[in-house]
Amino acid sequence: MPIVFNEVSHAYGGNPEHLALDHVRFHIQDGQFVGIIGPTGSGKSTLLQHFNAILRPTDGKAQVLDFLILPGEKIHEVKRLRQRVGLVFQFPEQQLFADTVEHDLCYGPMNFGATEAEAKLLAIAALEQIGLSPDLLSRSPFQLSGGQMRKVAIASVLAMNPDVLVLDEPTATLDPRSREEFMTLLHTLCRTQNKTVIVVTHRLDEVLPFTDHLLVMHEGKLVFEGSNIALYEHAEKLPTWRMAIPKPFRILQACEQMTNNPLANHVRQDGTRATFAPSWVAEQIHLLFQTLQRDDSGGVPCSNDSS
Amino acid sequence: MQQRFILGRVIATDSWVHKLDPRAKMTCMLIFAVITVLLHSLVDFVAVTIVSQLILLSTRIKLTMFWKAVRPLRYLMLFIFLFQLFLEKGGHLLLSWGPIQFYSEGIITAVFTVWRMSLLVTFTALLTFTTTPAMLTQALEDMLKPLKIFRISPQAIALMLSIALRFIPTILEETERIVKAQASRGADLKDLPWKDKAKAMIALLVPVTVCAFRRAEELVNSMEARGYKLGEPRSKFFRLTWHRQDTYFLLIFILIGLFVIWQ
Repeated sequence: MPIVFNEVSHAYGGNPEHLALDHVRFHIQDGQFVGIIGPTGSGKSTLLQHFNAILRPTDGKAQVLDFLILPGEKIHEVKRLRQRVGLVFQFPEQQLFADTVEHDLCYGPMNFGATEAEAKLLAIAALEQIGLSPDLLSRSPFQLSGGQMRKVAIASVLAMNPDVLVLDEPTATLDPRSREEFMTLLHTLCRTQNKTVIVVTHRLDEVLPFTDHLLVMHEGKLVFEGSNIALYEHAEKLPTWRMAIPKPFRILQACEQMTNNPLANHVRQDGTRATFAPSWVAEQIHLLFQTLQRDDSGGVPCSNDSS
Repeated sequence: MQQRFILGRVIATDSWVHKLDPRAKMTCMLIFAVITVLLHSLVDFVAVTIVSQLILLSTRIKLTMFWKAVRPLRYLMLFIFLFQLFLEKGGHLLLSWGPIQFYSEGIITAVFTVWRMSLLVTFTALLTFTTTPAMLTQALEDMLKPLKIFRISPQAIALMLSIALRFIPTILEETERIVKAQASRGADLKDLPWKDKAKAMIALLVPVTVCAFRRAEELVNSMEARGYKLGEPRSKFFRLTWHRQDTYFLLIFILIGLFVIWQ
């Protein structure tokens, strides 16, 4: 079942002056890797809390899996929704509380009705999914390193075996290498287990290599919905949404100008997903210049010549 | 969660009360607290209520804001009301229903107690609504100077208070996030039965306490890194000056006090 938001608005305290989401409308397919991006205060975190009904719309309706979330209405079996939609808040390591990693990992599954033995199996599986050794189970979560604590906290949500995994700025405060490792890990979960992964971030370049679908938020409104390449075509709008144009976009735009060859047409013909990862960018630059050489038999025109 | 907490929030309307010396306001609050305890007749209550409400009105802050400060105490006030109503046996018997008996004195004491509490809470909100925490702590430091005789540092007390006030919203924000995170893991405090609520509180209190200690450590390090040393002489950002209005404000309360005692 997909996730469909239909004209969803949310005003904190029901006060229209505190409108954080303004008639948001989008559609997410099963098993997609989705990036929700936007500057600080754009409504990203408010939006993600609607996925498991921590917040409910004050207007409009949201369909998440087979649950319909309507304004002011209590959802039947909200616990089941929260089991199926695992929500990881910013700095999840700060939610850890138990004396051992095992108890923390088992907390979610046991709240959702698993027996102690079942919960332990789920905990081990979640640790392995996230790339940590089951030896950590007996350790205190407070003795782990910052990165390990974050992984354990995400594993504590994965242990509930959710169909949808929603993460708010999962890589905040991590170093560049750990950030990439983390995103790769989430991408692997999405591809190998067909989980829908929704990542909220303000770093566009971080999610670009992985996303199937992008949503851009600005001042509580959804200002863009589409693929990576569609966003590339609208890149000039990013600064108006208070976001910087990512480096891969700028490099390819420059190459496009030099070769006078639109990248998007070329990518669409090719049919592959535009990842904007360094290797993909290098390949596209090579292809752009190769086409130019074929057309022009040498020489690179200046961008002024195209006019 | 933060929106429900009214106390500790400054509402800037630039009224004459806002401009008063915080030491004057703090002294008057203390006098007012004593006055509310001394109130014993309807005339006292009505007179003090009129004067206090007029002062509140003169701040140009909506009266409803002051009364919102009473909201968090409503259950405690209800409990005190019922406690007085059932246990005070003076005066005439008004109603007898099985073991439950209401006496006239019980009703009067119950009403007066709740009235007294409301007056105290609404009026003390005036101090926090019209004074910034920085001014408040500086005034406190100034007023606690005599404690130096007993080797108690007023600077330390004022610093503790200012840090505590500064971190109330931050810790509330963190608590709210952890409540939501635990709700996402199937432990929603709102939906849980009472016996499970206590268990779920551990999942909330441990991370909140850990966060508070982490923040405290970061704060200590950052203050020390910038050369802060407790007890060293420091210049003040605000300079407190006592004006004629402060004396008049203080006089109003002394007069109310005298009126209540004379009554």
